[in-house]
Amino acid sequence: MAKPIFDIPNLDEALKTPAVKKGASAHLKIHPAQPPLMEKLGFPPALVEGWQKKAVEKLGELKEKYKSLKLFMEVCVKCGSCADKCHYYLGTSDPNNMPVGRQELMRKVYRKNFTVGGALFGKLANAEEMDEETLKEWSTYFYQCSQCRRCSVFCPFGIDTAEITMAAREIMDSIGAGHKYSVEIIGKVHDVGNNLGIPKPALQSTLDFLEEDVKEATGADVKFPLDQEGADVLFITPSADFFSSPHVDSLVGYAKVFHAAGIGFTFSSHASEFANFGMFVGNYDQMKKISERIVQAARDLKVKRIIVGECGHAWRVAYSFWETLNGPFDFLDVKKPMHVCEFTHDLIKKGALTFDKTANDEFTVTYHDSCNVARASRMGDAPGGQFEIPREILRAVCNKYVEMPDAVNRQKTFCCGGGGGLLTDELMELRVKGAAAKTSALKTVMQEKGVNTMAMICAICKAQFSKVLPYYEIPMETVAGIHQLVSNAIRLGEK
Amino acid sequence: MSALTLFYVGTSYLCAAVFFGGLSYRLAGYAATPSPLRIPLTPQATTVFGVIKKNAVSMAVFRALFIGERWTWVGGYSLHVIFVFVFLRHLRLFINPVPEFLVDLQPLALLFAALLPLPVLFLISRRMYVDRYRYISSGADYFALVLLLVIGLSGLALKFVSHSDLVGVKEFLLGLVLLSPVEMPSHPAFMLHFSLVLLLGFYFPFSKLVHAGGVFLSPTTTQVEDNREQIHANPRGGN
Amino acid sequence: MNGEKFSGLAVAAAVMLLVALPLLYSATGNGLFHKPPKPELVLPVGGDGKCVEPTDFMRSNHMKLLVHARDRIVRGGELLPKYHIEGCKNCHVKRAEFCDRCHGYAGVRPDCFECHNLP
Repeated sequence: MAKPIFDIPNLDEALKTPAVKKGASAHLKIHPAQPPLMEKLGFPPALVEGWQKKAVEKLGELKEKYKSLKLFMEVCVKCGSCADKCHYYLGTSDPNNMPVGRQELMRKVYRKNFTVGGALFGKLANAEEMDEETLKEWSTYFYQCSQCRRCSVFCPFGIDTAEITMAAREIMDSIGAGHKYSVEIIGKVHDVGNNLGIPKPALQSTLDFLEEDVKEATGADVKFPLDQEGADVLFITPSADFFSSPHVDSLVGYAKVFHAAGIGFTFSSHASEFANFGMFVGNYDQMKKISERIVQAARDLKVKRIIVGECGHAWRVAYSFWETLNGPFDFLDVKKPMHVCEFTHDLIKKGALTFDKTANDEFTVTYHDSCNVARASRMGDAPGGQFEIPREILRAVCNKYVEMPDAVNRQKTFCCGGGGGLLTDELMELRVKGAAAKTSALKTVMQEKGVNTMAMICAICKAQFSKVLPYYEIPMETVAGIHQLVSNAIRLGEK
Repeated sequence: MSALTLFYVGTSYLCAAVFFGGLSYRLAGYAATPSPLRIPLTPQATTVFGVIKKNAVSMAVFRALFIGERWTWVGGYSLHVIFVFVFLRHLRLFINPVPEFLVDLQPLALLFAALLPLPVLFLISRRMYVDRYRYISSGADYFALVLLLVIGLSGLALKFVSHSDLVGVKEFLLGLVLLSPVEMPSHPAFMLHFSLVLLLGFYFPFSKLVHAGGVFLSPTTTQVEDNREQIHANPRGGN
Repeated sequence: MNGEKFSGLAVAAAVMLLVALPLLYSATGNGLFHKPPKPELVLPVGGDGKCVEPTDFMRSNHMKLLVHARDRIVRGGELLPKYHIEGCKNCHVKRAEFCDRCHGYAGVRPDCFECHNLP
């Protein structure tokens, strides 16, 4: 780890509301997307002529397309309930990172152009034109929001900053000011089929290697099939699961569960990515196009259903948006996507899996609710299943399980600090500061309850925490996937 | 009819048109704007009835604000409760005959309504002295609060300082409602109070005060979370 | 029109209706374009036709006079100041034909008659 050139937040203070420090994170800038990357997605390569006017036009278009945007722009009373609920405000003290402060950056343009008061009274009504300065603020602070929806939990009107951030990014893309990280990744999905740009041969050899590895470790013939036509299940997982650590340990866990259940599945090289950065950039067409690959793969491979791996925002897209974007899924036997946690949980309930919980005895485990799973989707039949199902799995495979403090748990969970398309190196300072809130809760249960493992079901959370926990002198090995722990405990060939 | 009455009668009708027309326009605008993707804040009820039940409670007690910012809730919630009593206090001047229960309620309603300046002053000072709120507060935020304050104070003056001829006031207001206006009582405190209320009526539909209706139309809180049970097609067909 | 749009418009209409409800109540009860009803008082016959103070003043302030009179009598021990309620009764004989008319109209309940017996 390189020596940090910024102050690491003090975890003991991380949940306290800081005093406002104007411009405290104004220096944290994204890398702009280069022209060829933008053009590939059909965006203008660079800032277009008359972008000020075009940005306003786009805002006008989006407010008529999305009730959320229109209503959220107009009904905020600025009560400030959200102000200190954002992990980036807590971590940076920058008032533009208070959700309402962030929203105001768009609202002032909205007022100027779409409200009577703003047009009449201008600055007095906090209304301003779209100009150089405003665009600078947008491209800074709308990339300091991880679209985690925590603010909306505390808003009397349910105003969700994620909707506003998505619209802002969509507007900036439409005038030629994109973020390299997201735009480049979406391009790779279109070219290769996954975010990491892993070509089929590399994918195949990884899976072959894993097969041998598991065989060696367990003696069982756990399969990692790729592009196997006629399999029961198409399994879609974030591509990080194929390569990154600790992600890959959960991948092994998924395969072991399928093996133990005797259900055939296949990965797809065409759709080797569950993540959908179309959501992060707020672009409906990209989101649809990205998930279309999965529908195509399901048709081509003639599967009966789709099960998906551990990923937060992608579960939101799958659970809440897939059918609207790409549906209906009439060609499948099971028309709704299933989360691998639901799958494993069902098998546990049926008694189809055998575990040796002592295999996880070296771990005292806590669970980190990922924002998009917690606040934008569901698992199982009842509301709140997204909280209970992962926990029930953990209790089934571990002897020592501990809850995080209520104030940062379940619906009130804090983002890892790297979600929403911010998992990029140039924003490392923001990511470290944004992680402080949740990390302080982790540290509390580490000190008080002896926790040494934080389980989660989101590829971004895993990558983010692995990278930033060392800044707080917490080992990266603390991070684990739920199916990594399932993998440890599951007994193969004994049932 | 005097020129002054004529002016107030004309302004009153204009105000009513702007208020009801403007508010309808804004709310219908929200209602008519599509919500192509399902974005309920989860966990959320899975049936319409469940959502209504959940919101009936959370909206009645301002639950989100309660768990978010307790002191702001104390100020904001008490202010809104006071609004209800202010409404009950004034309703008798717009309807005839006055139902008995409304007469019974008057002493209690007065007790609460008279407290209006307290939460307003609290909410104003909150914006002035807490750095986060000061940062986000603009002229419009103070304007709404100050307007409420002076409306409240002028109303209290009518009760406790300079009584107007209440029968004359009611006759005038009832005349407006029945589209058959009569002479306005020329009582200074009443004229001030009434003018300020008209100003509020004009301002309301152009301002953040529309949250009063908008709260019932917010997609994150009012959408049913039934993705497992239903298929939601994009109302626009695509994009 | 899809379901969500319909229910949204229904909610918007309901909110508007709620705001307008009292006005509708009045309009239907009293008839539009008719002069607003006003209390009809039975005024005393005979005497000089003059109250203790001018009529306009009495309309807005009679309650203050009565309260002050009460304080002077009950707490101050004076006998019969000018504004004693017993004096009112000399002219305004029937409460139902005078006091109650305006008080009922404006929805104001006086507490005079908790003690004073005025038929």
